[in-house]
Amino acid sequence: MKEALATTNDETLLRLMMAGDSEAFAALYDRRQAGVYRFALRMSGSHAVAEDVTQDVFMALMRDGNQYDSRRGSVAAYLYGMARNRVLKRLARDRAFVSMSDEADDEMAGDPRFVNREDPLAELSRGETIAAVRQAILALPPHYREVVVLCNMQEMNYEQAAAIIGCPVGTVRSRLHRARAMLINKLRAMGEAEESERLKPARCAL
Amino acid sequence: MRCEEFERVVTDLACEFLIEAAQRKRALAHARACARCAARLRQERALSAALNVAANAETAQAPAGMKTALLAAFQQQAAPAPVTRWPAPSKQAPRRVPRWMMAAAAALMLLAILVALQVLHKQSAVESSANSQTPIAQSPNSTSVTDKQDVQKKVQAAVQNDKTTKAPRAARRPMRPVFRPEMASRNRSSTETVTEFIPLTTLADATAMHSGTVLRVEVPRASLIAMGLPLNAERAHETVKADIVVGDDGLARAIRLVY
Repeated sequence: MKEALATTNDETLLRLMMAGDSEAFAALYDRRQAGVYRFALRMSGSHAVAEDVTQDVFMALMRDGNQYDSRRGSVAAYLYGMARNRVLKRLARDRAFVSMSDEADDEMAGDPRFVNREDPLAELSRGETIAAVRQAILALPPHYREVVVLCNMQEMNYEQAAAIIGCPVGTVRSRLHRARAMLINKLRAMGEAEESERLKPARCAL
Repeated sequence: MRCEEFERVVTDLACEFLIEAAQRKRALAHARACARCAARLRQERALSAALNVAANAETAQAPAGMKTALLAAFQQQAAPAPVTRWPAPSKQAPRRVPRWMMAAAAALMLLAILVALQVLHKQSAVESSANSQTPIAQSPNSTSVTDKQDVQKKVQAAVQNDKTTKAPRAARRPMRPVFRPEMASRNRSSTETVTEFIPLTTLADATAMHSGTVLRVEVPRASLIAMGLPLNAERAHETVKADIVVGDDGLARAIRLVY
């Protein structure tokens, strides 16, 4: 039975689940919880928020799963959409994350110095790169952050991201373009800061 | 392809999103010819690589306990409702009250309001006629303040009038403030000492009043001495507190000193 459920598509699992099948719910949860959790984590930078959001999403699915409309997108998009709404509410409430003005980022994106340096993370180790990327993503405004997370971290295409966000594909496309320009700029600044820190002469202990 | 067009597709190229084969070919050809756009493409590809590294490094998922808790909640939710002896409360929306019943209730309420307004109107008409016919049909306490004999006479007359005519209750309760000597003494501070009220006019008609007020004032002793009141002339330059009974016509009827 469990093997059969593992190959069953999301919509069927949801239908079985709404009919009271707990194994179908468990199968759907196993399949989608990690994606929802990581999306919430990447958007918020907080494991506590990610846990809350994930639990809330699946509780809502139990309660309102029959409201799912396959014409509006996949079950995964439905789950991510619920997660997105909850994360954005938390972000708006907490206001614990730094946002940068879009205009400033756009101006800096056209800076020739920015173009000259091809790899903004060339000077960073793998661990430093991961930390820098996470930090830079969290520093983006939420509507830019979500397109980067969905398209570049969760490996979704424009259409899927647009279904989750609830906006036209063209909007996702342009937001991703701008968001990536902001990210490159931030990472370049981080890389330069790291490099200058390394090159700083050590003070003699004697 | 020009640099502006290349900039529009550079993200798709770097992210390896689906793009038309011909457009992709033209963009790559442009990058080979334009050093600036080539650098731009390398930059975008470096970012994509960094994002992939960060994405692949993320292995976090919801804690194991969450699944257990959610499954328990699911089973609790899916469990059938316990059978009760009495009919279970209906899950349907509460039955709506028919419109004719609501209209009837509204008409009844309107009728009740109209009846109440009419009764009040009749009562006020009776009160106004009673006031105009028996102006002194008041309680004994609201008699005019002149001298002691006059007060006693008016008290007796009022009591008799009250017994014989049985004026309406509202008529015995005038709306305007009424001077009552015991009220004045009740309101004053316990540390005060007051004299008896001394009439300020000797004419009986002028002394009579239906109601009045007591005013607390501070007056020069000299002026009271000049009026013939018994005050110490040595302290004529000082002031003294006094309660003055003023009738509705504005005339002062009586005064008493407060120490």
